[in-house]
Amino acid sequence: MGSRGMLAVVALVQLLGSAALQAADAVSCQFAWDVSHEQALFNGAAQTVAAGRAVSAAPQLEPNQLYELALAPQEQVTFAVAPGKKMLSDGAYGGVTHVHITQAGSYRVSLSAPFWIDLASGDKLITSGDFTGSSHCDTPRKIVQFALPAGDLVLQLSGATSAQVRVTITSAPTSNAGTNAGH
Amino acid sequence: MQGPTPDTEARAAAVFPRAATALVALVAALTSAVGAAPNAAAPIGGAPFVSPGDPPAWRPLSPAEQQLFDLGHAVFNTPFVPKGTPGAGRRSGLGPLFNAAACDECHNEGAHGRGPQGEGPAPAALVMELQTMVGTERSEAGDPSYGHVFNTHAVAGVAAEGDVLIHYSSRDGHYADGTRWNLREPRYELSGLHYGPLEPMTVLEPRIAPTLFGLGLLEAVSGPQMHSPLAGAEAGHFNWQGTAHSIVEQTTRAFSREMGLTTSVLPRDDCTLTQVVCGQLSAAARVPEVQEELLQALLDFVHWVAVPTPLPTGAMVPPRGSAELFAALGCVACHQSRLQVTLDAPLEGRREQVIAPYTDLRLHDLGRALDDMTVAGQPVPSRWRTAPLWGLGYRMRHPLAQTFLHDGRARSVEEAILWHEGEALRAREAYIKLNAAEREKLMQFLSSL
Repeated sequence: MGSRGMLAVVALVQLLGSAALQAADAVSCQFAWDVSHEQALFNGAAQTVAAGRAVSAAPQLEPNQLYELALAPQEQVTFAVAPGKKMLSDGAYGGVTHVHITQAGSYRVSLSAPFWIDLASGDKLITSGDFTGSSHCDTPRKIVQFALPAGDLVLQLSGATSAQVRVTITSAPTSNAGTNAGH
Repeated sequence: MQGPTPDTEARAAAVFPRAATALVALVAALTSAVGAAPNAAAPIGGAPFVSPGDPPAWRPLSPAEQQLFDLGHAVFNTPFVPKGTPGAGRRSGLGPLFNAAACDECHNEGAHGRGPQGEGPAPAALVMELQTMVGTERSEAGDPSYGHVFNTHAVAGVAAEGDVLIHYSSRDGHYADGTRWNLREPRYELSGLHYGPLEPMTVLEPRIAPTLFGLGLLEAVSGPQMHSPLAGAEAGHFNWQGTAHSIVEQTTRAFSREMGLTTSVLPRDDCTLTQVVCGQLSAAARVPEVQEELLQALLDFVHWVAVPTPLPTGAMVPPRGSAELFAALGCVACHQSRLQVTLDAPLEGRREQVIAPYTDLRLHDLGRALDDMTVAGQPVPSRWRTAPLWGLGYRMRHPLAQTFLHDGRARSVEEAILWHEGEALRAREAYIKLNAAEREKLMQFLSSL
């Protein structure tokens, strides 16, 4: 970076503090991908559902719907497969749901809170393909993309400390090209 | 994967001036490769990562050690939460100011942080460190108002310090065979400064979270082991500029400055006098916030985590002559293939072992283009610890980890090499003279590490 350029930037920031604060607000919900579909869903009304404490009692979630899941203390949850991320379970909540995928393809699971997301097919976890997120934001906060087979899958959430989370499952566009990785 | 991911940099130095390819045969004949010296023992440290979410240790662990390793791994992955979160137990204490809530958020499963894909807000794994200049030298002190790290997040009731925005300009060039390249040169903007202006002479130090693979073995390297004319300056074995001398120092600094978590080793948050509420909350918090048992387990995990090697299936076999090409370019002047270590406990009956980190653990000038800048826009001469190349193949095979160098500006290993100037200028020039097949051969060698 040129020194004059940097100086100009610094001076601008220092002189226009309030404007810069507005700029900071503007960066709050930036994602690495186009997530306008997910954001539109998160700005709508959510259907409240209690997540299962076991697969046998898990509710069914449909793609392209916003749900507000009520979770249980994680030690009370029996997962289909052990969560893919080892974490301390202190204060953690979790839950399981069913998801039926009619057509194999790339899908996104979006959450309002930073839970660890697993999708299980039978007794196997499906490896995620990519992720994005914006920790200043909860509409959504975290999005993970998976290549999913058609069929019945189990969605498992674990690791975070809130008792509720909003969630959507959406079909992913063919490309995730974007401006920058959010966090 | 749901968090950032794998490491290391390419960097070269100039021992062999020109006609690199012509020297290949000579080097091969004289040394039978880069890795022969200082002795022929098989290097330790590598292990296949069958599941990236379950990294192995570099040596067999006893059941008790494995328990500590697993606990440390869980601590590493766990997002901490602000004090007062119901039921948070051992994970309480995040903040008041922070950049990330979990180690794993930046070093995904021990790997190199995921760098910027493009312009805009910096990703979590790229933090802006701050150091004050005293005369012409960087001091240990951070910025008077913002401390040692620019914190982009805060707990409720506390204002975050602001945002880091990245802008890129283009830098074009071409290889000797006419193939063009395009590099992206970053410019950093600190936006929404909540605690007033930074000091004009504060140095802005954008730093990607480095890989943690094999750190316990780098810590075990002792004494001078220089075999090249590019001696470089001695430094700590850790971080981009050797600013940490031990795993304990590196880890507890990150806890304090990037997560707002106090430890028995560093019982202070990075609040400044300007940050009154931060200071008040910090003073009222339990110290240490990270329980000693968890800190020690985390340190054990970092100490023992292995370096990923190619899996048995699909393993990358470097083409004949590629290691010699790496040597002939002069890369080995700094990226030394073998170092001797002295372990705390014998491994297969011996405490003296050899590792293959492809670093000399020394500081080198890599040219003005990589210099840090002060807030006032003055370049600050910067020297960089030779980044270890072990595990580079793991990273090159990872589609989400394709950013390199200290600030993730390089989008490929090729770009990382092209950013090398200063002491590495002649190696870079030799690299530019390679034809496409030779460049590909070099990449195949690097992806075998």
